[in-house]
Amino acid sequence: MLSKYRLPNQQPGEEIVKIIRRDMFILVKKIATFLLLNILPLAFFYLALLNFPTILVGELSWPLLILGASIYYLFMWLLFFFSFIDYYLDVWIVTNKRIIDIEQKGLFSRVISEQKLYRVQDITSETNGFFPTIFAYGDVLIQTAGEKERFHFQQVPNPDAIRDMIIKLAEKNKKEEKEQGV
Amino acid sequence: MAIRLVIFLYIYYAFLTIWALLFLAVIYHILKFGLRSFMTFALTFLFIAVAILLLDVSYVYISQIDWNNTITIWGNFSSPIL
Repeated sequence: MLSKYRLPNQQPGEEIVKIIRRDMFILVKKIATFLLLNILPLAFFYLALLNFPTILVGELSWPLLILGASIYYLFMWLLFFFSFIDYYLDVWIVTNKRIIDIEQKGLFSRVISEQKLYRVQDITSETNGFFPTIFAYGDVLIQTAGEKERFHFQQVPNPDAIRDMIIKLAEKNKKEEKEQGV
Repeated sequence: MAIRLVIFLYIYYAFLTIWALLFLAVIYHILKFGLRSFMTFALTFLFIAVAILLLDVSYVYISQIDWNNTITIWGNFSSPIL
């Protein structure tokens, strides 16, 4: 289990500045979709009951209804859990020395990458669309001197503030690296 | 054509097995890769609690049905299958 007190490859004097996840609105959208998918079968069931009143006493229909509803709601809960895991396990950790990007891609794929702050060359924040503008979330793209493609913080809250924070940390880190080099 | 009702229960058990395996995989993921915090443990508890509740409610309804019954689907149109 990942601990904020013991980061992977933690360096001496390294401290966590910020732990970033996707914006809360993304989670709210997932919950709203889940609730809708739970309510829809009830509406369908109500309509079916109006047209086929014997559905609750049928020798075959009642057992099938019970089994079907049980499977549907169990798998809905599981899918919501999957979806939540995708949200919860995508984390970007900014420390005073580096950026750690932890991305959960589905259930069986996970990518962890890191980059030293003094290697950061260019940072862009983007807010595109109606909801991102209203709820102030967007993407932050970080170009580094490394070979790896740029870091991509997706749908994070206050992308402009995160960009400013990383720029300041990177400048400070570059100065420290120079002083240590001299 | 006569069908034993218990066949549907076996199909349900097959789905339940797949569900249980996937559920355990997700629990493993959140505990293995999640950030060690109260929130992670609370959310894991919540997901398990709701899953147990769903299984319990399912059991209550499923246990009330006589699964030894045999249903005639075709050939006996007077049978109230619906």
